[in-house]
Amino acid sequence: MRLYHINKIIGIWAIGFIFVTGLVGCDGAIESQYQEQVVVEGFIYPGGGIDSVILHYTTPFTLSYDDSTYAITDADVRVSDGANEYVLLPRTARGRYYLPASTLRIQSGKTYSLTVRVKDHVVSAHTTVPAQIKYLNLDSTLPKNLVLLLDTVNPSSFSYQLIAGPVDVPTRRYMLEVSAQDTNYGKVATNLFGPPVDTSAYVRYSFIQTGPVITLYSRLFGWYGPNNLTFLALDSNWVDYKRQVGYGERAQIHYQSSLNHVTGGIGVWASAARDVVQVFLKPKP
Amino acid sequence: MKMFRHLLAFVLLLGCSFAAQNPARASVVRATDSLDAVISGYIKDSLSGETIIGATVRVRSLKRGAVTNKSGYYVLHLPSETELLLEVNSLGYRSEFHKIRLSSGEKLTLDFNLATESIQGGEITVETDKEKEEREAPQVSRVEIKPSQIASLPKAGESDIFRILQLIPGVQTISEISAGLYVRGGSPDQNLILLDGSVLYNPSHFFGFFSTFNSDAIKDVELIKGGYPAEYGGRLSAVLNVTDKDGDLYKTNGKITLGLISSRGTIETPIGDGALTLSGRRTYIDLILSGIGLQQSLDLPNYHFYDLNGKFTQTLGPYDKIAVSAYGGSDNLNFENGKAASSVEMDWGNQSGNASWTHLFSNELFMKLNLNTSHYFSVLNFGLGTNSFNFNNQIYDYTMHSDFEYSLGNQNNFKTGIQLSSYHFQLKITQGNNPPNSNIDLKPLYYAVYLSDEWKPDEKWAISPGLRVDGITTRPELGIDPRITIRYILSPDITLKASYGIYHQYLKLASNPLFSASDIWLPVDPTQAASVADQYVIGVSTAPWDGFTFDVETYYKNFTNLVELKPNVLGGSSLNDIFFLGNGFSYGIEFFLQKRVGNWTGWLGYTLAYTRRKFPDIDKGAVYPPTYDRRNDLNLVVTYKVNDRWTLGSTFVYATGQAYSQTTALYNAVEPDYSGKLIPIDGSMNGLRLEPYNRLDVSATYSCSFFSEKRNAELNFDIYNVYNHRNVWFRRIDTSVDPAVSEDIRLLPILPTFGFQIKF
Repeated sequence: MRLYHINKIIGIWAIGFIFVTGLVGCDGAIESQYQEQVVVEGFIYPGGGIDSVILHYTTPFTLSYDDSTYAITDADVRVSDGANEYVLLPRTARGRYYLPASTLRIQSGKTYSLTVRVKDHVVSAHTTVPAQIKYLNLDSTLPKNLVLLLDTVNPSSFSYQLIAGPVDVPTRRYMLEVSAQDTNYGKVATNLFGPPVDTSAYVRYSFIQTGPVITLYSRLFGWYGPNNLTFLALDSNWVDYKRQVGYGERAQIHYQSSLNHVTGGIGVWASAARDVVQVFLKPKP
Repeated sequence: MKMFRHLLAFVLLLGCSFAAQNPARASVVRATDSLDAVISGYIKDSLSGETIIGATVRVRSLKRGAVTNKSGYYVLHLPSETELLLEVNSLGYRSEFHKIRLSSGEKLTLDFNLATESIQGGEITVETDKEKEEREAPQVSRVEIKPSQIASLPKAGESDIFRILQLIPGVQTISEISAGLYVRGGSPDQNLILLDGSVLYNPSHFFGFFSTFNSDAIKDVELIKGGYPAEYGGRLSAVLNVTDKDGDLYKTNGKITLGLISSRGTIETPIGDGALTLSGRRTYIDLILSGIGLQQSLDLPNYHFYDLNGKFTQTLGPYDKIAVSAYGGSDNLNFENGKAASSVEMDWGNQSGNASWTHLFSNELFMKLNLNTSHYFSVLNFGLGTNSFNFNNQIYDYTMHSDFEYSLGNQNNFKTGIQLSSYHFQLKITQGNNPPNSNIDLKPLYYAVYLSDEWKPDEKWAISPGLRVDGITTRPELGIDPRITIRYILSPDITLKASYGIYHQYLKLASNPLFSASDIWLPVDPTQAASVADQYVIGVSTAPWDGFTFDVETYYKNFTNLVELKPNVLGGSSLNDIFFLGNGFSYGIEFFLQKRVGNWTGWLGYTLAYTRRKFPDIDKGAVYPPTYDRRNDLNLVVTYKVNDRWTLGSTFVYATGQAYSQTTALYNAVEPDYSGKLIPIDGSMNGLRLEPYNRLDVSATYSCSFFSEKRNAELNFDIYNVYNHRNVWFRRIDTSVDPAVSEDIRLLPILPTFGFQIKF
């Protein structure tokens, strides 16, 4: 066959092939269906009972989330410490379950397993409680009267280094929670970039730290007035949960199964040791 | 066992090529046995003395030819005692013809100087010969870009070779504001990016918007999309080989380009028996914003980037050349907000240096010794009051590699070489006064040796077997990478090619594709082995009409030990702390119709591709497409030279939309004393597609005189995104409204830009 004809044939074949492959390329999307899941959220601390395990279902995207609509009220919720199993009691607030300290007092070093059964769902999770911690330097770092003055013109001058201990394991992670106790004293007008944002949140968290030294800086305060400074020594479930939910008022990443340690559902069952001190924040005159 | 079989096959093949070369052992006496004379030398640009890569020397009557290597050097074995007509040509140069007659055993050094010539319709015959040489070259998947091609095409404010490379079939991008090259289903970290032989670890500026390459300083860009030869290693997917200009050997000249967001300048001058070239580029958005007071009034960050390139070459007699080159580039961002007591300080970039010595032991034996150093740094200091977050990533790479090329008759061209790289990886992430989240300090040694041959048993066949053996001291195993490329010339207009190879990668990259400023490179360690890819390529190159080439290539790649960054990772001391480990594959077919001569030039490229990943820890181990998987990718690039003054350019891109994960549900994530926030839950990983991507850009270039009698200046007018189609960058979920909604974040609207360039 003459080369001229070979080229023609190849040309025609190629055009046809492009057309066919173009059609092949129009493949369909992989649609994802909504699947109802049980969400568990529970945090425990040594020395206390189980204040609240919150249970609710996931919400289909495009529908409004409403705490009472999706709350799970008919679940069988149990906690085991290895030796005994306890049934949690429903609170009046929908979807909340608790166990008083008189029934079960959480102890450092122990592993607590949570099991939830509702409809066809069986959800379980485990946490090992960190060793109790205490503030080590409050006397030397904070004013004696625990009143902190914030210079709004030069907020970077506001700095207190808080230390807690002891360190039970080298891989332990720490976090400071600052929660306003009375919002009648007004908001602290700060924002990372640009003008101050209007926020209704009354709790702020520091970044997770690799050691028990955390700097208290002005942005951790959302409100003037009395604020609790809670130093937390976190278990790994809490650390991964924090990596999931982030620090702002909105989610920074979507749900990641690799950060979820709740089998058969999603959420968190975590523990932390903690120490709390209350300070009073005032704007510097 | 698999490795052993590959090794055995390679040894047998190489043995065959040796046996065929030895007349005593070959069963057939060939006409090539009478090739007892040899000519060799450099082919240069007659105006600047710059060596020309990929130029051809041929004797048409014998159907014999040679192509210059990256140093512009060729070797051609010829018969003696016969008058021969040598034809020398290269794209964009006037062909030269020389009659020679060689005596038996003669080894003649013959350099050629080619004069430039505007590529007009009348020269098609010569140019298609050059294309024929390229079409019939044994290497598969190779694309060469000249700086002149970059200049005449639309640019979004800044000429950029990566923008052009992204228009080549098989090369995809994640968005128009990303300079990352996704080659045949490989991520950008799988590309070996070389500047004068030095590895660049982060080849981008402005968070990935621009590449680090200043187009005025570049002499040649070579992209090998797959099946690359044994002389290259350490990456899974592709090689991008950028060569800086050597400089003008005869006269001082320069070029200044003024753009909307940056300006650049280049000067070349002869020194001794060589030249010096210096280039620089800087953005000045920061200076403009600061000058008009916007930076202060709007609390905008202070940002700029710059590049500096320098190269010094000297010829030390007929057998030796040296070249010393250096590159430095950096991005700087500073932002301080006194009211919020917050500050951000970022500094990232590359520095590289290269010293090379080219030596001819004989006409047939060519050596190049390179000493390279490369430094990548990324420093981020984030302050909130007195609390701080510090990120410091540094890579120091000191590499020695020597390459030998030996031409044994016209049948065999052997290449061998060794590479030794001493790395120093430092990663330190700290918060406040606590122990660091990461404190990695590693000094591994990478070593490699390779051997390859380009064996041409007759005019039609070229078989290029190669073997690369390499390893790194942080892992005990060796990477044994056999590679082979086969070419068969079916007819003067049709060439068939095939390639297979194994590729190892010992460095892993933690990177955010939307934000390239904090790339973290780490070597393999006891927790994770090297990534490995098998590549298969089959292709056909044709010339369906005069002046046109049409290439079709299909590929399949299988990846093992790929990595994906863990979500919101806080640091770590090993790869397992930072990465998920998984596998993947990709396959596709590419069509590439090119016209490189005449007033109308350009190309039409179409790629049909599938890329998949499978990680046990992602989406419950399901197979999923990565975000850069593109089913269809169509690129049309056209340049029209209207007359001596006006040149018009246009690019059109159409691509399947980016893969994304559809949010199917939400849950309220509660923390103690915190009412919670809604977290989106996605369905199948990257199961849906954003709307298809499409964009049309146009440009016009006007040549004029600027205080000179000759045309020494150019005005560029560009319109980016002519029909103002705001493509989707990514889709986010807005949980601040009730109910939550998905929202498309769109890319740039229509954007006219202009620039001015003057040569002196």
